[in-house]
Amino acid sequence: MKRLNHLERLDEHLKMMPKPNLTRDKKDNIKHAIQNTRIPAKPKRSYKAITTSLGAIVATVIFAFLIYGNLGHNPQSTSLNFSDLVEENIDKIVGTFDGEKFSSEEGEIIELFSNTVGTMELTKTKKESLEITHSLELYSAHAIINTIHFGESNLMLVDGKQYEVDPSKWEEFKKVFFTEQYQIDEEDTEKSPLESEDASVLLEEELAKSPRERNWEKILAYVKDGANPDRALLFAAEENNITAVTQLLQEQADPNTTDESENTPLMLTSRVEIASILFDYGADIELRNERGYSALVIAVYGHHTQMVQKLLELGANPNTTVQMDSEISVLWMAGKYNDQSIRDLLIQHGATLVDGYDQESWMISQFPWLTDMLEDDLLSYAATGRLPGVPMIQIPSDPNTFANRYGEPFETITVNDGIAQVYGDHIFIKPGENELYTSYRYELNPGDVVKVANVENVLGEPSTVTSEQDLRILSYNLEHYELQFTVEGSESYSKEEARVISLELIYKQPGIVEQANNVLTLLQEQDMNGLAEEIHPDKGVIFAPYLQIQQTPMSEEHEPINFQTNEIPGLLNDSTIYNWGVQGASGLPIEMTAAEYFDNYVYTKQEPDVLYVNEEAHGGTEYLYSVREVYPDAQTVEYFYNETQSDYDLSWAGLMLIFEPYQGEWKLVGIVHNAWTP
Amino acid sequence: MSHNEIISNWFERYGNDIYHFLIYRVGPTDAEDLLQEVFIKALKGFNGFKENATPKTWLFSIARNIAIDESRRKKSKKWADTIPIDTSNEPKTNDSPETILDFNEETKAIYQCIQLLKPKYQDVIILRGIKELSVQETARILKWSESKVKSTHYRAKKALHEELRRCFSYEEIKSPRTIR
Repeated sequence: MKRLNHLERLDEHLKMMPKPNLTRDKKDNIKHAIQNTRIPAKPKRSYKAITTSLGAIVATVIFAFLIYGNLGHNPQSTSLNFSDLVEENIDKIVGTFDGEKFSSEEGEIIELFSNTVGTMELTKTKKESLEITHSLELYSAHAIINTIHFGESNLMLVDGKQYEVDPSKWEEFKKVFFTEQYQIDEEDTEKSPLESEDASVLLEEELAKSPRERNWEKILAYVKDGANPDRALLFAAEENNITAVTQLLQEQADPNTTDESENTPLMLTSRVEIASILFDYGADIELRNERGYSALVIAVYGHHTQMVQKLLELGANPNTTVQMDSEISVLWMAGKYNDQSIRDLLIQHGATLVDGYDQESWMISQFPWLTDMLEDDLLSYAATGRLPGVPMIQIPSDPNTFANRYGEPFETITVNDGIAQVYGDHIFIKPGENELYTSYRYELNPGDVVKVANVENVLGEPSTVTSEQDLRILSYNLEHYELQFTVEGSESYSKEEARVISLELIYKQPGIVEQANNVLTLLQEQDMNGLAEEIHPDKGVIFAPYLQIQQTPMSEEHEPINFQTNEIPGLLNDSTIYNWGVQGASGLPIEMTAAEYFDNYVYTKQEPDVLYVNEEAHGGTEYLYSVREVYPDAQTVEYFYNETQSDYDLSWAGLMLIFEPYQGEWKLVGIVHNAWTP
Repeated sequence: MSHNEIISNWFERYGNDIYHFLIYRVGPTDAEDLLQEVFIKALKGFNGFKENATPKTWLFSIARNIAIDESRRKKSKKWADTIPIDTSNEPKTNDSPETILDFNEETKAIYQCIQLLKPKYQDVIILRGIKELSVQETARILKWSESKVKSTHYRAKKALHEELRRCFSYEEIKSPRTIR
């Protein structure tokens, strides 16, 4: 016989533990009781699931909400029905008011509840301090379903969230239920729900405090008094507080509890020690949050090598995909990022290469780092839709250019009527009616810790601060852009504590693109009077073929030709032959009339394929100056044509419009031609 | 068939199973009282029974909820540190665990050590280990994922083994053959 190891031996012992049957007498007694129990008739009423919505915990990834918020829409309808919160049949209601207890299992009361409170429409409101006057505990046949609290005004608190309710329905129930008829003697109740109720409320209050003021010893004491430890566990995990996490787990906190974005503690923590502890207490490593990410996906997105390693050691699937139904694996992501160490770890743990995996194709393995951006001149970059340290990023930008440059997005997420596309750390958002990505955001990586105070020290006071649930958005209103920082934590968080969790750069419309589109139309229609109005009154406008915006060795003594506003209206009728520059291929001078030049070098004959804003996507030869060097304060829009002759892919052409600021407006200073040069 | 009849049939069929769970979870004395409570709750809450659940797992989960309530109740009566086997706190009765359970040294040791485990471990040890329910059934009852059942079961066994070794020099106990 095979020798059993100690646990197998224990298995055998357990299987053989005595399992006595009920005595005949007992059995008959119970059967009798079952057969003679009358169930009070009561209306069948079905309530919807209590969403395990825990008040607003801020996850590191609260993506959808943030996108919505920043597009100026609400993430979801904030009003819901009471029945959305409670699914099970209610069998008993216990109320507390003014230290007295009330209780009823009567069908009448339960029906009254269903017809009054049960039909209330709830409107989520910002959390403010609510002085609770009445509490109701709802019980099903075998367990408490939920506890709801009411304050003086028409405010209700459930699951740590506050709602505004119709006070008349609540009044109707209140005046019947909170009466002597249903009052019970405190001595009757065996357990002390009041005590544990108090503990729950106190726990909530403690959690609402800022991390610095939060007293974990108190929280633990409340848990020991009967408060549910799950929500506290989420906070402790996010704060990376090992002691609190361990103690809460010892107090039976559920290691798989979730916040309102369905993040588990394992997803919120960035300490590997805490991940181990959670796992030891039964955390399920493969759970996914609302956005579809598992803990491993979050760690790979965050470039968090140690966490990736720990999760793989604990058994996370190395072939995890970004989302459940996605074909994009974490290995593919790591390859795109050019994140060697994570890539190697995944392969060591058995990740297999998939089709389409191409490590070299990722041109944008630039990780945004806010700490560094604040040391650079963030605002001046943002003023033209750029960010320091990530030169590939430009807002607005044309999604049509992305496939060639960055490959496929990791994810495409629908937001309201638009989409958000995720290229690694970089999230580009395209509202429905737009053809362009008009905002860019990124979520700060673990380690890039920036507090509100850090931001304000560098950028000054924000133009506006708005609050939404337990988030705040600091907004810096620039002339043409808006820079938004999303900050976690309620107003109780001080500026030294409140952490920035994401940054978003938003292009204000109408902006330079709309103005350039207008100029393009004027050029297409050869409306020279209209064009004249767009031109810089002091500087006039230059016409530059082949990017010849400055004198260069190629153009020898030639200066770009410049026309003032008053010369523009008659330009196409001017028979003067001008020297516009030199041909890119032959080097011969371009000598022709303005009308001929327009015909050959101001290309507007077809609709542009792609648009570049403030980018010089197709540079010229090394002798040419870049637009940015010559016009440091300018904004540029380039219309790009893939082919001007069909099936000839070297026949591309570009038409760039350069604008400079003038008395608070943008005025045209350059019309630049670009084409392939041998 | 009336609800009373259905539940009565279920009692006939699963009564002993639920009884066993309760014996190990709350002690033999309370087990008998609570057993009735389980089936009465099932009757009252019959509308909450989902067709896609099995009566067996549903009854077990009610039993577990009742057991949790029971231990909370005891806790609030400041019996927190008392385990049911410590009969000094229990009403006088002839039904001591020894007489009901027909304990020998080994089973008694195991019984006592199960009581020392945390509730979650007790649940999984009783359901998986003693009652030999499948991982899937256990997962349904405890509302855990199957992988959590597996990992918690393993940890619970380790913890139980540790308790046994600490209190009863379990290693010295011979392999099981005396029972049955």
